[in-house]
Amino acid sequence: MKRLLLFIMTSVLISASVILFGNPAASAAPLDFTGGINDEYEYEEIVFLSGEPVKFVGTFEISERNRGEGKLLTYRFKLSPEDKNIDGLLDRRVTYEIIYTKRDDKGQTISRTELNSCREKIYIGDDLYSLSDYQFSKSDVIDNRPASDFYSGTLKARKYYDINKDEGKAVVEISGNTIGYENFWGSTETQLLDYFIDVDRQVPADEDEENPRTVSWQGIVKAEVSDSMNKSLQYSQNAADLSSFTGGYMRITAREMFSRYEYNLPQIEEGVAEDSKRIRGEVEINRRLLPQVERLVVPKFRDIGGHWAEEDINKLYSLDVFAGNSLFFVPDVPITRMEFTKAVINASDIRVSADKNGKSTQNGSADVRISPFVDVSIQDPDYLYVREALNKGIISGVAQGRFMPDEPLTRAQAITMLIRALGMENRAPTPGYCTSFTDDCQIPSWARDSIYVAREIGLIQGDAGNRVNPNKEVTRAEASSMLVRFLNFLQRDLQRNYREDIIFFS
Amino acid sequence: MLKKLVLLLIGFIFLLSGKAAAVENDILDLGHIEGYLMKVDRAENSEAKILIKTYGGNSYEFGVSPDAVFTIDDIPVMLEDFRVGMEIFSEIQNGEIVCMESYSTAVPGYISPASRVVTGVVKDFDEQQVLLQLTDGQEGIYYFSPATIIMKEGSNASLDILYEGDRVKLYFDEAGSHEVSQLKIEGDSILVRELYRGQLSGVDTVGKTIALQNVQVFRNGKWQEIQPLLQIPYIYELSLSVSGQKVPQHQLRYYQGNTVYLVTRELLGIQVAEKMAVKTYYEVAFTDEIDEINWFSRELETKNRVNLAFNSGTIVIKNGRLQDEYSLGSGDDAYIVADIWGSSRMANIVYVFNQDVNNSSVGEYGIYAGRLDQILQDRIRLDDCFVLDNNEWDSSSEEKELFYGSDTSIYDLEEGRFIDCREFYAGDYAVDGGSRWARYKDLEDYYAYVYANGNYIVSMNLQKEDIDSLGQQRASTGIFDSIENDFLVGWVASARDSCDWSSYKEQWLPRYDDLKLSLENAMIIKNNRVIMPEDLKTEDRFYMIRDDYSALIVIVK
Repeated sequence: MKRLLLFIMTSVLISASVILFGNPAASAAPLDFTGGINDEYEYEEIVFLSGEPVKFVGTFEISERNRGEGKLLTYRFKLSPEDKNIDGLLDRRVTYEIIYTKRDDKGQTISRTELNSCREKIYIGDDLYSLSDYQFSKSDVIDNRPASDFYSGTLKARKYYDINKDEGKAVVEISGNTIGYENFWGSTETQLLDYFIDVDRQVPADEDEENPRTVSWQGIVKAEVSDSMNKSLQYSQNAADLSSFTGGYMRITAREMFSRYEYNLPQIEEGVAEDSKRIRGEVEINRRLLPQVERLVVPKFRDIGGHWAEEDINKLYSLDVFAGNSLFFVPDVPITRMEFTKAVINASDIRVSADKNGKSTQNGSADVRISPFVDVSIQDPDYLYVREALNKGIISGVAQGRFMPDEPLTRAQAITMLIRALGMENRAPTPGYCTSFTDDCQIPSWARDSIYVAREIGLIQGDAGNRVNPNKEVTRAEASSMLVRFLNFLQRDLQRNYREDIIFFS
Repeated sequence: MLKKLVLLLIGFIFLLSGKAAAVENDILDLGHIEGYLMKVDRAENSEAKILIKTYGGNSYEFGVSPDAVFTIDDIPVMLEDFRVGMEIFSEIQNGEIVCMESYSTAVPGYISPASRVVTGVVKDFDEQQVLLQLTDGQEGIYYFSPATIIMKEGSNASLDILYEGDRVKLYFDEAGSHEVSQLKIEGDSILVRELYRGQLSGVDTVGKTIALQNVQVFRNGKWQEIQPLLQIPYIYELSLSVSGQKVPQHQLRYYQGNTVYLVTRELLGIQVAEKMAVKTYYEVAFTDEIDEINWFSRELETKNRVNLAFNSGTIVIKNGRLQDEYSLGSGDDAYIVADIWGSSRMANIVYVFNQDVNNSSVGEYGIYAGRLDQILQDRIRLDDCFVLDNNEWDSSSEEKELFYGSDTSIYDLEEGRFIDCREFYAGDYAVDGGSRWARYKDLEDYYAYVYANGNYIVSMNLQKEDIDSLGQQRASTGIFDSIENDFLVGWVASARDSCDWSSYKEQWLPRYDDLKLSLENAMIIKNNRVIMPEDLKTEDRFYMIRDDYSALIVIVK
C-alpha cells in the first residue's frame, strides 16, 4: 500500500512538471543568468572564478512546473572543462519561482522572479568553490499586445562562494537587464549582464614564508547573451515534374543562441594576482538548434499566376491566413473589412473559438451572445473574429455602433489595424504633428498615429509622390503584400532589433 | 398696490425665464456650445448627462446621444476620458450631445529624446551630413549638428572614425526632424572576415548552410588552399550574383558544381556567408590601379588599360567592409577577378587595398617626424620636419609648430615611460646637441614622431636616435593574426593580408607572406586614443609606419 501511494505520488509529480531539453519551438530565453548557452545536446558557459576564463561544457536539464499564478523553473547542470588539461567539475541545481501579476486593466503583466533553492559546487584545478549563499531579485514588465508580447526586466543578484571550505571567499555581484519579445512567429531574449568578482583568499606560503599569504583580486566580466527563435517561410519546389503541384511552402523554426563575454581580470602568476597587469579579452560562443520543418498546404489558385503579389498570396494561403476553397483569389478587387480583420487575427495567431456556454475561450469575460455591432450578427460565421478583434483593440468599428463588414477597406483602416495589433500606436508623438507624407492632410485623425508609426518602423512607404493614399481602397493583392510585410516584421525585424542591434551597437 | 407688486414680480420672473429660454433656444438653434465642462454624470452613455458652462457664464445640461463621438486632440476617446474643467466644444442635436471635443496636449508633436531611430548603411558622408542606404531599400540624407553625439562600442567617438559601408543607427529628438542627435556605429561585426573560393557542392536551404569543396582563402594577396570541404552558414539576406548580375537566393542550388567566391563576416560568434559571386565561364585575375571610372556606362579602366564592366552584383571590399560599387574611385589599388564573356569583362570581385591615415575626408590627422627644436608651455617647434604625405615622408615642411596639452600622450622611448606635460616642458628634450652647453651637460637632441589632429598633438614618441632612416621606412597595412608578449623580445605581432606602399610604383602592393613586427617602440592609436600592445586584438586592421621589423606608429582601423 505504501509503495502504491509512493508510486501514485511520483506519477503525479512527474505529470505536473515538464522536463525540457532545448525545444526549438519553445519561447526563447537563455538558461539561468550565467551567460551560458545550449542546444538540444549540451550546455556551455565560461567560469571566471579562478581568475582566468575556463569554458565548461556538459549536460543540462530544465523542468517547469506550474504553481498558482506562476511557475517553478528548475535548471540542473553537470559540466566539465572543455580543455581536458584542466581538472574541473561544475554541479549546479537552481530553482526559480516566477510569480505573475496580471494587470488586465492595463494589458500588462508584472512578473517577479525569486530564488527558490540553489546548490552549486565548482572544482577548478585543486580548488573547490562551493556556493554558501545566493541572493537574487528580478522583475519584468510584460506588455501584452495582440500580436506580440514585449518585455523588459531588471535583475540584481549576489553569490557567495567558500574557497576550499575555509581558505577564503569569492563574491560575485551580478546586475543586468533582460529585453525580449514573444509572438507566434518568433521570440528573442537578450540579457546584458555585468559581473563584479571579488576574491579574497589564502595561498600556500613560499619556502621562505611561515604563514600562508592572503591574495585578493577583482575582476569585471560583461556578458551579452541572446536566445532567439524565429519561424520563416520558404518555398520548396517539387523535384518531380509529373505531380499535381509544382511546389509549396514550409515553415522553418530556427533557434540560435549566442553569448559574448568581455573580461578584465588580473594576471595571476603562481597564485598571486598582479593588479597592475590586467588581462582583457573576449570569448564568443554560439549554438544552433536543429531547425524544425513543417510543410504547409499547397495553394492552387488559377488567377494569380504572374501577378505581382503571387508569392505573397501563396504564402498567406499556405498559412491559412486567407481561407476558402475557391480556385479564384481575385486579387484586384477591394478586400472587405471583415476579410482583412480575419486575416490579421489569423496572421497574429490569435485563437478564436466559442466554448459550450458561448464564451470566447481567449477572453472568458466577453459575452459573445450580444454583438457589439448592429451589422454583425452573432450567427455570422466570422462573428468571433470581430469580437476578438474588438476585445484586443485591433478594431473599434465605424460610427454609430456599426462595423460595416462588407465595406471595402481603406489603406488608413488597414494600417491602423496592423499597428494596433502590434500595440505600437502610442509610439507616435503627442498630438499636433504632421506625418512626412505629402497627402498628410487627407489622413483621418484616428489613423494619424498608426500611419506615423507604420512609416517609422518600416511597415509602409510612400508611393512615387510620397503619398500614403489613406482613403484609397485596398485590393486583396495589396492587402496580401501588407500582411506579408507585417509577418516579416514579426519574424525578422523584431529579431534583428532585439538581438543584432543590441549586441552590435552596444 | 400689493396686487400690482405681485404682478410686477411675476412679470419680472417671466421676463428672466424667457430670456434664459431664449439663450437656450439660441444654443439649440446654433447646434453647438463652447465652454467649460462642469460635470459628467457617468451613467450608461444613453443616460449620461453633461453640464456645460458657457464662456458667458450660463450653465446647461444635456443628454448624450448613444452614437456620440468624443475626441481629445483629434484622437477618438471615451466619455470617461474627459475631466471637469476642460474647455470643450460640443455639437447638439435634438437636445443631445452628438459630438464633443477638447484639447489637452501641452507640447504638440513631442517625442521622447532619442526615441526615433533610423538604421542604415553609410553611403556617403561629410562633416555636415550623411547619406544612408536604409533597411527598406530607400535612401535618406540626415544632418549633423555640433551637439550630435557619436558612439562606437559603447564609447564616445568622433566622426572621423566612420567609414563608408559602416552600419549605423541614428537617433532623433524631434518627430520629422533630420537633425541627428546621436549616431551609433556598429562595431567590428561589420568587417569582412574572409574571402573564399571553392566549388559549390551543397546547399541546405532549411539549415541555411552551403558546402564548398577544394576551398581556398584569399590570404596574403594570393589564393591558398585551406581544406577540402567547408560547411558555412549563410545569412537570411545572402546576396547572390552571377557575372555581376544579382539573382534570387532560391536559385542558389542551380549553381552547384560551379566555382563560387564567398565573402564572410563574423556574426554572433560564427562565420557566415554574406555575399556570393558565381564564376561562369572563364576568368581573369590581376592586381592593378583603377585609373578611370565611367559611371554612365558602369565601366572602369585600370592603369594598365584593362577595361571592365561592373554593377551592383560586383563584390566590392574596401576598408575591410563590403561596400557598393559607388565606393570605388580612381587611384584605388585593387585585386580584381573578372568573368570573361566574349570580348567583354565583368568584374566579380574588386578587393581594394588602399588605406590612409584618415578614414575619410572628415579626418584631419597627420603624422610628423622631426627634431625637437623648441618646447614652450603649450607648443613645440620641430626642426627638419617631415610630414607623411600619401604614405611617404615629405620634407617640404622644414619647421612645424604643433600644440600640446594635458591630454596629449607623451612617451619617452629612452626611459620607456609616459611623461606628463610639465615634465616634458621642464625636461631637456629640446637642446641644440651641437652647442657647447649641451656638450658640457652631456645632452643630446631628441627626435619625435607625432600623431596630430590638425595642429594639436594626440600622441608623440620621443627618442634620441636620429631619424635619418626615414627613407627606409614604409607604410604598411594588414590584419593582426597574433599579438604576444615574448619573454625575450617583448611585444611582437604577426600580420596577414599586408600591403606595402611602393614609392616607385605609387601603389599599394600586397605582400605574399606574413608580416612579423616588434611593437616595443610603437605608438599605437585606436579610435584616436593611445593604447598599449595588450589592448590590441587579433583581427584588428591597421595602418602603420614601420622601420623594417620595428613598428613605429600603428593606427588601428
